[in-house]
Amino acid sequence: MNSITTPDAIQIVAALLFSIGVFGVLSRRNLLIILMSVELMLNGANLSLVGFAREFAHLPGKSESAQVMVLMAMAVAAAEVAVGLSILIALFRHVRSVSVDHPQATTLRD
Amino acid sequence: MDPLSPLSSLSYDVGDFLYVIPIAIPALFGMIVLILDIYLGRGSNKTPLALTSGLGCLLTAVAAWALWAPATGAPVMAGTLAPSAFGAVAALAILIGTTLIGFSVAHHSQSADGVGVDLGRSIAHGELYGLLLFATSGMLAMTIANDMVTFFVAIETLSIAVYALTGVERRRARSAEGAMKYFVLGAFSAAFLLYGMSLLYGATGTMRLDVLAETAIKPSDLPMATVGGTLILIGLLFKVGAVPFHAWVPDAYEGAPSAVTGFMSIGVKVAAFAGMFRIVEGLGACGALGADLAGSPVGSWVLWFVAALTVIGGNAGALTQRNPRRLMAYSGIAHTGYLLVALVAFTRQFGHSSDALNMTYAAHDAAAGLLFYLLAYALANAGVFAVINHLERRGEDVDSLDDLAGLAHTQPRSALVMAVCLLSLAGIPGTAGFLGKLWVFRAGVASGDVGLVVLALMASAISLYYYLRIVVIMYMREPQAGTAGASSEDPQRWCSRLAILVAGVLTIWLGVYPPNAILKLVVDGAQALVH
Repeated sequence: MNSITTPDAIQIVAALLFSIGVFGVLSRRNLLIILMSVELMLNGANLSLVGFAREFAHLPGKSESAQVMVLMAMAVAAAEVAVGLSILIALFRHVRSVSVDHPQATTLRD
Repeated sequence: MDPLSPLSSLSYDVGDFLYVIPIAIPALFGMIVLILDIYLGRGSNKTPLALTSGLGCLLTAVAAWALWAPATGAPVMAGTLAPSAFGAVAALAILIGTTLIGFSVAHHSQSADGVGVDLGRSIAHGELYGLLLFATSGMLAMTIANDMVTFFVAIETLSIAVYALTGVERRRARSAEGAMKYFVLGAFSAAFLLYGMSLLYGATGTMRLDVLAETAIKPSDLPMATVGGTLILIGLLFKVGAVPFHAWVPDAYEGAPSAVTGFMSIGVKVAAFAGMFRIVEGLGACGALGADLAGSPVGSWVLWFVAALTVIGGNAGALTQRNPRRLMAYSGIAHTGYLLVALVAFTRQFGHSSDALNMTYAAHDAAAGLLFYLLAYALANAGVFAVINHLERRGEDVDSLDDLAGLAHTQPRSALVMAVCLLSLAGIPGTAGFLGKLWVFRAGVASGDVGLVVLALMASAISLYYYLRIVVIMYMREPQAGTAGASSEDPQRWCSRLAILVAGVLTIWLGVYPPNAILKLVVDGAQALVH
């Protein structure tokens, strides 16, 4: 196995991608960037799934079905973004802003 | 054949396709409704759409009862589904929500005379029913998913449909705003769910829940499994609106049209709880809920705190609300808390306590209690939202509790059903909600969580205040000026009347004299989950 793509290295990169995504969602104020960060999180999870599936290839008692899951997750993510962007456009028509700091779009009232 | 061999994971009987029928029917009817809507044309009476989706739900319920209820929970379809009575009961609760809510909005768009314009023109009906049915299909798949791939696809099918539903009234800023909040947090939690599944898979080498339950995890992989399990639970707790993750609930419920709010509060919660119990069963059995602490896994103590916070937070938040939908949002959070009591009782069986047998009984009770509670909750919430929809159909905005003043004089039957359903949510004897709470709390006592049950009991005593306040407003106040006058004669109002009637009658029926068939199904469902 190539030393650059050891299982651990893949998992570390996946965890980093996921963490960058979490940080982006929590710190950015622009809804588009937040959506991109969510995609980053999903891709981190996908990379981790592929990494594990590769690690488990041909191991007895381990399944490789994560490969399938990644395909499903990509399709799901595409559908999610399509709906998310339409909602964003619908919201933009009302508030003329994509910032979560906009008074109408931000406050989680209680 | 060895269940883990690569070939067996691809093999299935043709007969297994029978179990997919209850999932396929709503999706099929969703498409039929969309096409039918084109033929009906703009501005026409949309009652046929409600009837078609009602027919679809009825067929689905019959199929689920006939096909899933006798199944034992053994995996079928190459291990992707595990149909059982558990899924059948959850499916019934979900379908109650879809049907009654669908009926109660039957002719919003019909009033061309200017009454009901506000909602009428902005909800596109074909899409509304289509999305309701697609979401229902995802929910049903979630209740019997036996594979994390199926589970993830199912939860995303329902989520994406519900995001769109929340924003369906797109000319209203509130609707778009609620949809955006729900979408961002929902997608965020979905990513947690997916990464959690990945880590769990990395630790166990399987995607299947039944194999997971029998896997012995290597001690060196246990931390990864625990982190994975935690991330999965966080993703699901988001969906049910448990307290640290509940911030989106009030805004999404307030922003969405009432019909969609009712559907969300029933379907999403029922499906998420059914899925959560099935996942937790796998997590607990393979030891991913953490090491033992005082006889039960650490995970069940964490859930104990989440349950306590949710019960307190939901009820405290509901006390001050003036908007019925926000009030129902916090009430929904409180009910999540009561259901988490059942989940805590359910997880106690995975510890190594001295009375393991007792814990198994408690877990059995918890699963049965959950199922009955979900039925009762679905009926009561459907009743409340059917009445709200019924009122909004007359062109009244129900944005404040004061809009319900004097409802007992103007709409005596609606007010009666609303009162019955609210009392059921509060857990007054004689209603289905009482039996549900009794069952869940009994499981909590049996598993030794007396403190949590006492807390939940006190909280539900507090909840009486805000539920009864609505009843008082309906019965003891004079109608506001303009409220009664808005009533226009709508010749086809029988659809929503029927929905209201069914919700009220079933709530009382299940509470006073629950039919044996239902009880047997509930107990069978628990049996399928707890061996």
